[in-house]
Amino acid sequence: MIEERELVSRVISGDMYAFRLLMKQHERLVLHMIGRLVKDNQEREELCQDVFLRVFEKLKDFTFQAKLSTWIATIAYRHAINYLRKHKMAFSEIPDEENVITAFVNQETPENVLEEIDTDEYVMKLVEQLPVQYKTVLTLYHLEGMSYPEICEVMNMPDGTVKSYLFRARNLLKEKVKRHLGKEELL
Amino acid sequence: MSYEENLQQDVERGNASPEDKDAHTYYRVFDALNKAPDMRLQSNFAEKVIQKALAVEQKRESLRDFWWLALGCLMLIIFAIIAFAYAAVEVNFSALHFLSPYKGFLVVAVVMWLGFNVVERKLFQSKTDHQ
Repeated sequence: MIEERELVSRVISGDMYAFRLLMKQHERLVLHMIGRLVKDNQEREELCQDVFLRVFEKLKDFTFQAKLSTWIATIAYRHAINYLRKHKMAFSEIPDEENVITAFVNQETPENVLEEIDTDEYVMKLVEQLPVQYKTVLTLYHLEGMSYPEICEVMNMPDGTVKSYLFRARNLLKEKVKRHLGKEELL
Repeated sequence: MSYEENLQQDVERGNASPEDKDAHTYYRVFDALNKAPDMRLQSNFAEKVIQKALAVEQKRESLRDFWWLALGCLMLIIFAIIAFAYAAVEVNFSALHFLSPYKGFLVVAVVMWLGFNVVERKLFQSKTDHQ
């Protein structure tokens, strides 16, 4: 296993085998982050490619003050945000808490969704409806196992904001799933 | 800390009773969130990125070459202007006096030769640095 510093210096010196290794090690992280925010397969693939291209170009500026994965996640997050802005998709710098909660809790779940699928799938469908920042916090915390300081660095947000996004996102999901499970029991 | 916040923490640590309806729901939500989604990149993903990276690198190199060349040409023009200005000065050619009518031409030729040498060395150096 190549140490992180060695891997980075090899990539900087133009070693494409090392770059391939770096991509292999971090493709899951980038795919999960981009995949949660961009649904189209082709767009997602291209965005992931762009993220790694950016990593390749900017790696000489990486100072090892953070973990490489945190740095790559930061690039992926910014890239995804830029993409959403450029394509005028539902994105606001700060999620409108009141609207999110009202829309999310009151929104009727389509019957076909209710009849379907298991809870896991249902939760994933609900996650899709959450604001970008909530989705990202959930992905980094639950899927990538990042700590609060790491998430703060990736999203460039204060600790309190990250914690509050995580709490609210999970709370919203719980409320909705609880209703869903209640309906299931009635059926 | 609110009841919900405490509950989320307890569920994360596995300390909450699954008998409690809220805790039970949180357990299910967290389980779902911890599962990796079924997403995959194409098998030739890394290859595509490498090809793009190499293309970008190549483009940047040729752009660098172009700027060095442009800088060289600019320097030549500046030197040529200076050379023409200095050509008005009388120089004693002694044995090579037959060259005296062409002194302006000689100065420009020497300056061009020097200029090309500088540009070539720069280009040659940048090419060998990347090999």
